[in-house]
Amino acid sequence: MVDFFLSPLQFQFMQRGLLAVVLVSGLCAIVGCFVVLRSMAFLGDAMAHSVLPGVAVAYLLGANLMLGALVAAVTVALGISFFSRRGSLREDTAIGILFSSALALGIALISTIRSYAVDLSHILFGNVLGVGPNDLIWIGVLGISVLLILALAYRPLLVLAFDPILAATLRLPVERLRALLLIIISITIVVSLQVVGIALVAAMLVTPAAAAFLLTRRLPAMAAASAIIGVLSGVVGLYASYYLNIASGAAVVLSATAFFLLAFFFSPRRGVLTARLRNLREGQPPKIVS
Amino acid sequence: MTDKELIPQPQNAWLELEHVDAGYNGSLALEDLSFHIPQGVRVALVGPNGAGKSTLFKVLARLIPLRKGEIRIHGLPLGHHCDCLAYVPQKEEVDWQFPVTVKDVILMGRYGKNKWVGRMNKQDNDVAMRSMSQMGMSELADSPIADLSGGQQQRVFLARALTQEPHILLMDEPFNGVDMTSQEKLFDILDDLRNKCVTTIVATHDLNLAMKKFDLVILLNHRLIAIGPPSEVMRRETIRQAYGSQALDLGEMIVVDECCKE
Repeated sequence: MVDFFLSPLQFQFMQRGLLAVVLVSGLCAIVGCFVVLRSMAFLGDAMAHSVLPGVAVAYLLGANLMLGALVAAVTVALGISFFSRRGSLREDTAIGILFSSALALGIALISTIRSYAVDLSHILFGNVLGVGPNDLIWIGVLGISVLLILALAYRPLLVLAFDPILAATLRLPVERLRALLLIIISITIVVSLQVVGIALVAAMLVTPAAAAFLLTRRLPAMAAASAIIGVLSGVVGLYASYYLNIASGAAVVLSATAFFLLAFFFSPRRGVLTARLRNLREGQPPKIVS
Repeated sequence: MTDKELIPQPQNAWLELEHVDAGYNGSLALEDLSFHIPQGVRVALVGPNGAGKSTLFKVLARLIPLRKGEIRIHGLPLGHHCDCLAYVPQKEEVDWQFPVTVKDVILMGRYGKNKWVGRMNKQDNDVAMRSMSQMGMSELADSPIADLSGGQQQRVFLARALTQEPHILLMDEPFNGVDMTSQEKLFDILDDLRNKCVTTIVATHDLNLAMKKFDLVILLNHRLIAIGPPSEVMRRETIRQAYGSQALDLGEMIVVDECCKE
């Protein structure tokens, strides 16, 4: 039994991979609470995909890939608010346009690189076993900064998420807080790139937080539960990928989905099946949850 | 009786609007609106659907910019200093599944004033606890807001607004979908606020309440139709002017038909 857990760790790349997965999935899960509560799931996905041209440009220029990704994510996020704030476009339309354009631009750029098939799949789906010591330091530093900023701006971000009208009447700097949240999400996505890849990072932002939402009653508890679910999914996914020989990013995301389904059906307060059971036990006809 | 002495003379206008134009993209929802409201009075804001009641509130709360004209509070232009204004929007405006407790929401009223980090101080807590018990929400302090009834939701919003310690309180349709207990509680609070010299402006569809329970009535339909004491404003001709064919004359009384819009 002990062997089951320890034997993969005899490889250094597995040790680093495990550490990276734990850090990244914990971070994504906590930031994801705000993504879920502000209904930004689609935006998060769009920002993740729009990272591609940034990575490609950085690759072509020989610059830092993470930096390129970060610049691209922030640019697209600001572009979305620019197009939708003018009032003539709905936000989801603006997201749909910018996100697919950015993805197309990224693919166009990468297709000019000779060996693009391999690189593209690493960017799209992640390569946790290729995490180097330097990457780990970057993940750690950026992750801790994001969590610190979240802790400092917790109250205004909470008000903004719950009731933007109150935030405005309290004279909180609403626009700057919105931008801050977008930057936090961008950094989180960029940090997660290597572990889950741009195609799957949205799942790490949304799924553990959604499961935690079903299980808890207050935001701090939700963030804690989300982090636990995220980290567990990361660890379970990585071991599954080692023993079943499947892609690590996909394994992590599928584990998170499994946790979400458990919460959806069996959450004591909001679970679909628990509500049915309660009704049956109390002798009432089952209520259809809409 | 000291409370009474605080009430200023009616000629002291403390909320002043002059030639105010406002609206969303393109169209104007409010045109050339001018009126003065003295401090500490209870005002009913009435008018047909789409008359611009919510727009007026949002302009006062600085959620929509002013197109033209000027708004002054305590003699100073809007946004010039602390506006001391709290806004209770319709309760449908927020997601009641949000994972916060009643107490969390009420404490949000104190989040302005640069209280970003660190603990809330004792005064913040005391104010929040007081408004919570005023609204009869103390037993529910630790309940998630998802468990509240419609009337309780309205009371949480009002308690939060009280926690902001406003000089002017705006309420958008607080009587909609609210049980009698909550409505009575609301008027207790409004009496208390009047004693504390807080101006309250309440948008309502209920002309009967506007007639009986308020000091001033503003009748609005894109423009100001009338402002004054209920007995002056709530007359047949003015109501017909605001509501048009929605107003039905039944001889002794006039009824406004809100559900059948042309």
